[in-house]
Order: sequence, then C-alpha cells, then structure tokens
Amino acid sequence: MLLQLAFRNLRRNLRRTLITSAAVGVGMVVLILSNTLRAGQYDDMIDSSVSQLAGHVVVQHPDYQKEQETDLVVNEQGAIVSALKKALPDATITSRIRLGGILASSSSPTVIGLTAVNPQSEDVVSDLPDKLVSGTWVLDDTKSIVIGQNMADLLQVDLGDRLVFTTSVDGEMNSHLYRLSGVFRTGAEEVDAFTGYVSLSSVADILGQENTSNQVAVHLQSADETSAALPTVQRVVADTTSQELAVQPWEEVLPDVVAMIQVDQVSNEMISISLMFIVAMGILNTMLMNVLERSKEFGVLMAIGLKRSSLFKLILLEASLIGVFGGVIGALLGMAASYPLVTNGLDLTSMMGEGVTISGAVTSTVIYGRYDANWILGYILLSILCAVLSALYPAWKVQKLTPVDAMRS
Amino acid sequence: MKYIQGTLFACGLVVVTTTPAFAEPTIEEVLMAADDLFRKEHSIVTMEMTVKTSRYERNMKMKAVALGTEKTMITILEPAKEAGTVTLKVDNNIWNYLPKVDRVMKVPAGMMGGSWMGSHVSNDDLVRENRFSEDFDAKFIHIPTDGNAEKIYEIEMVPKENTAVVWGKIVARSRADMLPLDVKYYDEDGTLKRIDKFEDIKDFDGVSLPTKFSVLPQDKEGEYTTMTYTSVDFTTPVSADMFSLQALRK
Amino acid sequence: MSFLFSIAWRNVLRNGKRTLITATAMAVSVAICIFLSVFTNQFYATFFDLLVTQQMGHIQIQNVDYAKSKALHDTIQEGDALIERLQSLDGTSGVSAKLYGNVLVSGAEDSAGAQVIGILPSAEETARGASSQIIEGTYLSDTPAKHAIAGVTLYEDLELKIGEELFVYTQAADGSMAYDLYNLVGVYKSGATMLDRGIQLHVSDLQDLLILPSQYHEILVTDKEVAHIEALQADITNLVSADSVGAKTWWETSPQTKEMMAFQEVSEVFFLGIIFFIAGFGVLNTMLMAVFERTREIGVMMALGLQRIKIVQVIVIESALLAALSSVIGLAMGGIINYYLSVQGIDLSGGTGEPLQMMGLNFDPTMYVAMQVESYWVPVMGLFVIAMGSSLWPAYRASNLNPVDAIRSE
Repeated sequence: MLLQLAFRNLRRNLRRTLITSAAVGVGMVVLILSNTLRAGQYDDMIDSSVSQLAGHVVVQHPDYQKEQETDLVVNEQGAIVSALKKALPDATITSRIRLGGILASSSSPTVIGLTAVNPQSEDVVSDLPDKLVSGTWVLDDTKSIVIGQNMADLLQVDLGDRLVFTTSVDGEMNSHLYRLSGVFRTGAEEVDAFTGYVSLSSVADILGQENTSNQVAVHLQSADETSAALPTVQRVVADTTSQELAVQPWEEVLPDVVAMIQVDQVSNEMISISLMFIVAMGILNTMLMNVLERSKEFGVLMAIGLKRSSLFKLILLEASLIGVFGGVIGALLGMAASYPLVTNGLDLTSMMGEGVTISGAVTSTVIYGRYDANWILGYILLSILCAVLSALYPAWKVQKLTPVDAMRS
Repeated sequence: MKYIQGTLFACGLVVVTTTPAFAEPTIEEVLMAADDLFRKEHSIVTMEMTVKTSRYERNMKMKAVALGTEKTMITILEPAKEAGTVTLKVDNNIWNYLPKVDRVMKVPAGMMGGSWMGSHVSNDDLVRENRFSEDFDAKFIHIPTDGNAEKIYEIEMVPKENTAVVWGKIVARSRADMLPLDVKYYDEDGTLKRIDKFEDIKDFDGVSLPTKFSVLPQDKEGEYTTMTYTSVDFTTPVSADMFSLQALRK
Repeated sequence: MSFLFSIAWRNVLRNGKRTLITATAMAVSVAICIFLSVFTNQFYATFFDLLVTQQMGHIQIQNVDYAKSKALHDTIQEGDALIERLQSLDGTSGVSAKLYGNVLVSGAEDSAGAQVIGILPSAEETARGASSQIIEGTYLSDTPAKHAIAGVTLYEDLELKIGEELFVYTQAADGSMAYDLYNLVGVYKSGATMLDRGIQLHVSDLQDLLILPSQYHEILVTDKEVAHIEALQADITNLVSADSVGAKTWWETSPQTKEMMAFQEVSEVFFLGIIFFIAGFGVLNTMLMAVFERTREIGVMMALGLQRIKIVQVIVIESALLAALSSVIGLAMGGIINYYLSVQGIDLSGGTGEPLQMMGLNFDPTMYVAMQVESYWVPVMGLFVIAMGSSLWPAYRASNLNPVDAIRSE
C-alpha cells in the first residue's frame, strides 16, 4: 500500500522526482566514468608487468627475488613446467632465464639484458611478438634473437645478420652466435635499446647447464585467480622436485607495481572522495528540499489517517525509490558514456609516446576502460544510501508535526 | 685472430725463413706460421704504441714479457702518468695492476668489449681464440707460383655454421716466406670493416719478424692504432712465477 | 530597484530554513571546489618542481652534440667561467652543473658497472635538496675531498659500507686508463632507478679523473620567474660564445616532459571540470527546486499587483543574494581548509609516512598547500552565474502563470 502511495507521489511530483533523480544520476555517470578508466588502467599496468616481468604465480630459487643472479636457478624446470601444465590446463606456463652481457655486431658491441624464453608460451602472454617492426618472433632454435629497434640501429644490423653474445659464467667468457630474426619497437627507450630475447635452448651451452630456469611462471586468465592457483602450484612444485623453491604470487615478485598503484590511488581517491561527497551533498540537499517543501501534503496525509510511523516509512520509501531510479539510470548512462573507453580506449599516444615503462615493463599508452561490477554496484548502493540518509532528518521532522501545523506551514 | 695477441704479446722466434722447397704448404701451415711467429718459448719485447682517434692521439711505450701464448705481462713505461700500469693475461682472463692505488683489477665481462688502453684493440681481442681448422672453412684464393711476381698466399676464411664471430669473411695474406702481410675483416654483406697490417720486417737474433702492426677500422676515417717493436729479446729466460697476481704488485 | 531588493532580502530571510539548506549546499560546493583547485594546483606545482625545476632546471646548456652522442668528450669547455657569468645574470635564481661518466665501481666484496655523476654539492642542495635524499652517512662536502656517495641499489648490490674506499675505474677522455679511490661517505635514495644504481662525486674530483678540466656535460639554470624562461634563454645564448654550446629551454630539451606536464595539466583541468560540473549541477538543482516550490508564493506576489518582469527580477536578485551568502560561507570554509592544509599538509602516503616514488620522482609524503587566493574566484563566479541563471527559467515560467493557478499549485 505504502509502495503504491510512494509511486503515486513520485509520479505526481514528476518534476521534483526528475530533478532529484538527476542529481543522483549525473553523479553516478561521473563516478562510473572515472572508475571505469581507472580500473582499466590498473588492469593494464598489472597485466603488462605481470606478463612481461613475472607471472601470476612465480616459482624461483629462494634467493633469486633479492639477488637476481643468473646462477640462482630452478633445476628441473622442464618437469615443473609440464607438471604445471597438467595441473592448470587453462594457464600458460613460461620459463625464463635472464642474463647480462655484450652483444656484438661487425660494427660495434653493446651492453644487453638478454631474456631466454620458451618462445611459444611467451608468444601467448607477452605483447612483444605483436610489437615486431620486422622479422619474426624468437624461434625455438639456437640461433634466433629478437632485439629492440634502438639496439638494432646502434649495432647497424639487418635481419639475418650475425650477432655474438658474450657473457661470463663462473669467471669464464662464453660466446654464442645468433642471427637477427626480429626487431621490436615498444616506444620505451630503456627497452628498445637494452633488451633482447632468445630461446631457452640457445643458452644451455652458454650456461653449461641444460633444463634450468630463473623463473617458472604461471600466467592465469586473470589476476583474480592468483590466490586460488597458489596452493596448486605449491603442491605441484613440491611433488615434482626436491629442490627448495619459492612459490610466490605476483604481488610479492613485483612490489614496485603494487607500490606504484598504491601511490596513484592516493590522488585518485582524493578526487573520488570529493566527487562522492559532492554527489552526496547534492542528493542530501534535493531530498531535504523535497521533503520539507511538502509539509502541507504530509499534513493532509496525516489528517486522513496515515500513521506517523507509516508517514516516516513513506518518505524513506520515496527517497529510496529515487535513489534506485537515479542510481540505476545513472549507472546505465555512466556505462554508456564509458562504452567508447572500453571499446576504443583513451589514446594518450600523442602525449606520452607509444609506450611507457613501469619498473621495466612496457605499458601501452592507449588505456582501455574496464567495467568494474563491484564498484558500479557499490555506487548504486551509495546513491540509495545517500538518498535514504538524507531523507531521514526531514522525515523525522515531519512526523513530529501535527496535521494542522503541517498543513499551515 | 691470434695475430693481434701475438703481436701485442709477442714472443717469438719464428721462423719460417724459406718456403720448403719440396711441397706447397697447406692452409693450416700458412696460418700456423703466422700464429707460430709468436708462439715461441719466451720473449721480452719493447714497443711503442700510437693511437689516433678523431679526438686524441696517444703515444705509449711498453714492455711485454711472454711465456708461450697463454701468459703475457705488459708494463707501461711511458707516459709517466701511466708508467707502472701492468696488464696480465693468463689464458682467457685479463687483470690490470694499477700502481697509483696499488690494486689489481680483473677486467669484468662487461668491459671485455671495451678498448684496451684507449686503442682500437679491445680487451676481448686480446683473449679471443679462434681455432682456424675448427671454426672456419678456409681456402687458398691465391697461391704463389713460379714466375708469379706477386709472391703471396691469400687465404679466405669463412666462419663455420656455429662459430661465434661477428665477421662474415676474413681474408689473410702472407708472403711467400709465410710472414703475414695483412688481414681484412668483412661483414656478411662483403663490406670491409677493419684491416690489420704487418709491416717493416726486421731480423732479431736471426729471426725475421714484422715489427710494425696496425689496426685500421674502416668505418672511422683517419683512425688507427699502430704498434712498433723497438727491441726483441728471445734469449733472456722468463720465469713462469712472474705471471701471478702476487707478482703483479711488484 | 531598491524596493525589489528589499522584497528579495525579506524573502530570503523569511524562508530561513530553505535559505539555510540552499546556502549550505552551495557553500559546501564552493568550498570543495576551492579545496580541489588548490589541491590540484599544488599537485601540479609539486610535479613541475620535481620533474622540471629539480631534474632539468629551466634552461639546459650542453655541447650541441651531447644530447645525441652522450659521448664523454662532447663537453662544455671553460665551464667554470661560464657558470660565474650565468650566476650574475638578472633572471638567474640558481645554476648547477654536472659531468657524467660510466665507470666500474668496486667495493671490498664485489664490483659493477655504474653511472657516475659529478655534481656541485651546494648547487644540487639548493636546486633539489639533495642532502635530504641521504639515508645513511653524510652528503658530499663543498670542497673536493675525493668523497663519494652511492645510490641505494648499488650500495646494497655491492654490499658496500660507509667509510670504505670505493675503487672507480674507467677510460679518461684522452683514452688513458682512469682510476682512483674515493671514500664512501653517504648513501642516497632518489627513487630514480638509474640514479640509485650510480654514484656521485664532487664534480672537480670527476673532472680530475676523466681529465676534463673545467668541463661539464650539462649546466642547468633555474629562472626566478617561470614565465621569463625564454628571455633568460636569449640572454644566455648571447653569453655563450662557443658555437659548440647551446642553451635550450626545458621543453626544447625534453618535449616528452612538456607533454607529460601538458597531460598532467589536461587531466587535472578535466577532473576539476568534472567536479565543477557536478557542483554546478547541484547548485542548479537546488535553485530549480527552490524556485519551483515557490510557485504559490509567486502567485501571491502577482495577485498583489507586482509586474511579471519585476517578479523575475526579484527572484534573480534573491538568487544573487543567496549566492553571495553562500560565497561568503564557502570562501570562509575554503579558506580555512586551505589554511589548514598549508599548515598541516596532506598526507599522500596513506599514513605510512614513507616518501612516495612515482615515475622516479620523490614526493614528500606530506604535501603543504600554498595559500592560493587566486584559485578562489572561479568557483565563486561559477556559483553566481549558475545560481542566477538557473533561477531564471522557473521564475519566468511561474510568472507566466495566471495568479490564481499559481496560488493553487502546490
């Protein structure tokens, strides 16, 4: 009965209803727009760093995290990789060795940070194969090397040219011949000038040990699955090898990325909270007005026998209907407004170049939005809550009035 | 190739004074002859080095003591500022003794590609070892014959499939008496990148030896490094004890 | 007019509750807008200070080839004389100079390749408070004493200890072997990856090591007034005699930084715009509601013989009065917030108190906001325009009603 009455009131005071819900709705649009963009940006950052620098769950030598020395290895990487593949069929398992040294062409030598990878799984998780400007991605042979464009320019090499990688292993200088099979360009100078990729099999003879890896990493469909996968990986690793290894989630392996997001969140939260505050103020204000201006109407309702408690409920019900109405419409509008961000992305290339590095991982400067269902629901609840809370005071005030006073006011 | 190490860390005696009358030498023999120039028991050599780059010119005097090809010690005599600096090469490793701070430093992997003493010779050049027969496919492209005015051997070396060198082709020329003349380094496109030259053959204790060695990088115009022997001593014995880190400090 | 004004004034006073609600809502919007303007302006200024003023100065003087070659020998010759002349220029507020090199650094345990920067310790201190980045030991002293400070990453990697002799080895500009020992006096943490992997020496010590007497790779000049950078650049260009040396403004040296600053500015303006929009919408809403609810009252005024145009005027004046009242409250609130933040600062670290590191820059965990009275006007002006504008339409509509209908309407 009250619900019907509430509906009728809202319909009758259509203009007031519209103005009040617009206050709720516009706030929602803005909140959702900014949240969608931010969620997408963080996803992007996490995805690119996790895929390029680690994995969602990482298996490594207990000291590797701290020391990053090439000789701190996972011994039976092959067995661990295949066991993990079996246990987590939907995940991609990468295996990487990082080593520093000199890469020389017939024109000059240069310092290189070389990553030896499993080319197939790297192709699945990494953006780099899509960033090739010439040639092909690393082949699973002992010859092919893929380097950044700036390095290729410095060394004055073309596809197929000889490149000799030299590094020191246990104090011995070891060299290996590669041939340039591809050149990538990320737009990030540190990456394009100093990094290269080869296959794991090609470094076995340089290191003098087969079947080792610095990091075996499990790449899941999404970062949300990390905690669920962690115990599985731990169990598989314990079952497969007797070597004592560290099994860590990406947050522990890439503390820089976590820190970066946290810092960024401070200023974002400042803006978000102000935004929510203003939206809440707007709602409070319109609701106050809405209720106080209608004293007369409420006086009539009381005069025809509506109980005070029912009146109180009625006002709150109306408020929550406005909250729901404004919130849902606002959420839909907000999602519609952010749709271009989600599909086409926000292109900041002209401002920031093609790629920026975040602790060594290249992130694209086209930011795609992502709808974050939790937040959107949260915002809808927030708008309902605001509407109801701001109706509390006037509702309480009104029910104190006598019908005569109310009608007179 | 070995030439550089040999010249720098020259030791020795050599000796193919005449071409054997009975047969043409094999490629191996010609190349080994060049290597063997410096593959002698022991030697003490003084030399001058001139480095000319677009920015600076450097003149140095140094003394090199060698035992076989694996152990060499070079002491800088001039200029005064650097006098007493010692480079020790044992097998594939290089250490520098730095008198001003009385300290021995092993040249780390990251600096092996860097220049030795500001010259066009890299640290890596000093230790890199390529075994011709294993690492290269070599063939004569010119053999001196009777009546031919040009009495030289010309050998073309193409690195084998997996040989870790940056060059696409190396062409070495030696005189008919098998003393080296020059070595040209090409990339795979056939562009000449560098020339090593051997000149001024002189006689020391009855041994003929080129006494001037130059590196001419072809992509840097007007730049070169030249080393000239001023004395060569194959007779004074050299003790293996002096090629140790402890001995470096003295 | 004064008659209309007094009616308006009386109306405002009579509807005390409504006036209070509306004014409070509008005042809070103004205060929040002031707070956010002040906050984002400060954030931008801090960012500019860290990224531009501290990192690269306003004008960079370099050998014209250095930007591309980064070669040891592409230096500014006779730098000491140039620095002296730069310091005496009118617009100059600070001059710092640097020399860069790549060296091998060895401690007692281990060695590693690292970048070395020769600095003028007091100039760096003035420019960017370099000594505050020292986390252990002391900063470099102003007289060259063969002291070194190491970046925290290198310090940890090489397991160095304060007080030990660092062995530094490289090739000097003349091709000779360059090496020396430096006493490690301090460790700094800048947050910039490259810097934290390097070491810093007094520039004279590094000039001696690299055999580059009185030479620098980079001289950075800071202008007293950011707006006068181009004029100062012209002065400096006249001062620099050698053709091999050029002076560039920070945006010429690093268009990327300019773009980043532009991006920062655009995104701040964008966010501020959104906030202002929402606040403006709230005001609009409040006014619409306030006027629509008064249809009956307007009818009464009409019945009393007040002309329609006058009624619209009264209502607009009322809105202006309301806006004025809200502005006073809003300005007071905004000013108090601003003052509080200028004294207490804003904690950006989320309570950890750790310096924030973003894009290799060190943000102070507490940001102190300058009193920025100049950012108060936009919200206030906006408030007036929106409040008066948004009362026009409902006032006009109400005044078009027949008085009887208007009185009857709720």
